[in-house]
Amino acid sequence: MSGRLLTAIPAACATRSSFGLSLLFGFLALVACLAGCGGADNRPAKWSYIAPAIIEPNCATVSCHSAVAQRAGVILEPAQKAYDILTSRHFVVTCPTSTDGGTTTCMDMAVGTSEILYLMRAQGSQRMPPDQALPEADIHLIQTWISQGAQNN
Amino acid sequence: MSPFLFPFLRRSSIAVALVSGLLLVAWGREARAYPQFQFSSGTTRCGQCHYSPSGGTLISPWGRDEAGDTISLGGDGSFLHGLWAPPSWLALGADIRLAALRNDVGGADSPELAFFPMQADLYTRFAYDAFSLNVTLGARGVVRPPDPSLSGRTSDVGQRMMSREHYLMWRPSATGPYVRIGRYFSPYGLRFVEHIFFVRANTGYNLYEETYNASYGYVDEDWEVHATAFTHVPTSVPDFFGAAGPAENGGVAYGEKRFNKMAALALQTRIGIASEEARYQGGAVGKLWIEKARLLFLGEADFIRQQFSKANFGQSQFVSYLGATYFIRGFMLGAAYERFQEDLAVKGTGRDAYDGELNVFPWAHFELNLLMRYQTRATVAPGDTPRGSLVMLQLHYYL
Repeated sequence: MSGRLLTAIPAACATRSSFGLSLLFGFLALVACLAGCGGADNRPAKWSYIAPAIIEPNCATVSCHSAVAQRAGVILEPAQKAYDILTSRHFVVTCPTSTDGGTTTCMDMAVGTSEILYLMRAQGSQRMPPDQALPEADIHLIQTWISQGAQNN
Repeated sequence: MSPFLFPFLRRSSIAVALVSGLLLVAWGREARAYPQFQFSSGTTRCGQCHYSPSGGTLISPWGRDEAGDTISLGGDGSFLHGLWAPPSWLALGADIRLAALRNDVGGADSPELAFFPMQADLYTRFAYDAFSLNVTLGARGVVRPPDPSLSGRTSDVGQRMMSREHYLMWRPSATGPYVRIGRYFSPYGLRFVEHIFFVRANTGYNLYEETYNASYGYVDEDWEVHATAFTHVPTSVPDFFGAAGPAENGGVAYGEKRFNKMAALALQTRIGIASEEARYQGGAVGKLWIEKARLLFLGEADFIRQQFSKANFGQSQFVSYLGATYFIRGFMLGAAYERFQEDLAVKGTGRDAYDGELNVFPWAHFELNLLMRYQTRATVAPGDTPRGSLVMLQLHYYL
């Protein structure tokens, strides 16, 4: 069977499917090109970005922290509700803001005690999300937001 | 097939059907179509094997014949294995899946081992002339319940019952125009069963994210178009309707052209507007069947532009799938590569996945599926692992 397969593929490709295979190689070239894309992280460390771009699509899935499933009593949609739960249950530790950007001591402590960062990095705990780890770039953005006071901004 | 085995298999099938009926009220997940069957099974359109013009859920009589005669190694693909045929105005079906998995993403509880009921959905279709009412009823699945025992899994089944599809359709013939109104997945993309694939999870088609739609479409032998206006399931309705995903309103268009019953190229676009987020996406789907090699190539690529109004920020995403599947009757062996780039302007936000899949169809109504998935992410914290893996075995029975 495998011998027939190995001879059939080139024969078929050489005849009717060369255009299709060209498309496939073009697709691969596009993916390879895009894989190298990107530069510095200029995304806003704001809850109004983090909630819809990172938290909701990765954490508020229907079997986990959606309003329907409410896994472990945690609902991470919509943004306001997610913020209230994350902060009230100390997954995210907030700091009061001041005109100079907040108190340094509190913000240093907030990064060290916000449980969400340990869960996402699986540091001494299970991984969240449990099916697919987030890129560190996303976790670092959340850390930056926490280090700036974790405001509902 | 030995004649001595047949009565045994027949009795076994009936037993499985009865057990399936009992399980049906217990657990649920989701089924869409197998796009791998297009061209490879001798059919060119999804709507040939499914009542839905874009594929998925309830199988048509043609599809049931294909299941027994072309895809499986034997058996009768008819409802209840041919023991009883519903009247012409009624079509019934069901999907039951049991799964075992090993999931390794690093962390304290990894690798995770689980055995769980994955899906139990009952499909009904009532037809009158060119009109039909289609309803799917099941229970929302829970992979990781607080109490994983049998009693723990069954105690709240009533609260997890939901209907992820219910729609009215006017479709006077297998080809030609149709109109569909109700809840279902709008036609878009490759429409895989596996919701974890990036091209499903990141384009608005994740698990239970069916929207309320009004679709018009036209299906011909060599081409088809589908246009859909949609609105999200309101969060104020009971959980029976299972609102999930972004609260978007918008539209979807999908057009597919087929060539020589061996290839297809589709273009697609989707716009979804939510209160603080807007998504504009477009892409292409390609399918190529090489008969001599028994190989089917499937590919999809989408660009997504997201605007976050409150954050005053926009980002562009890229999501893709490229796979090949080898067929012989009763078996399907596939490999695929996937990529999701969360923000094209930010290095380190990419994820890759490599999939291997084996499907075995030993007898009509039965399927064994082995999915192996290896994932990587572009950036990790010091000491963390960039890799993750999933091995999942499914036993699938459809009524």
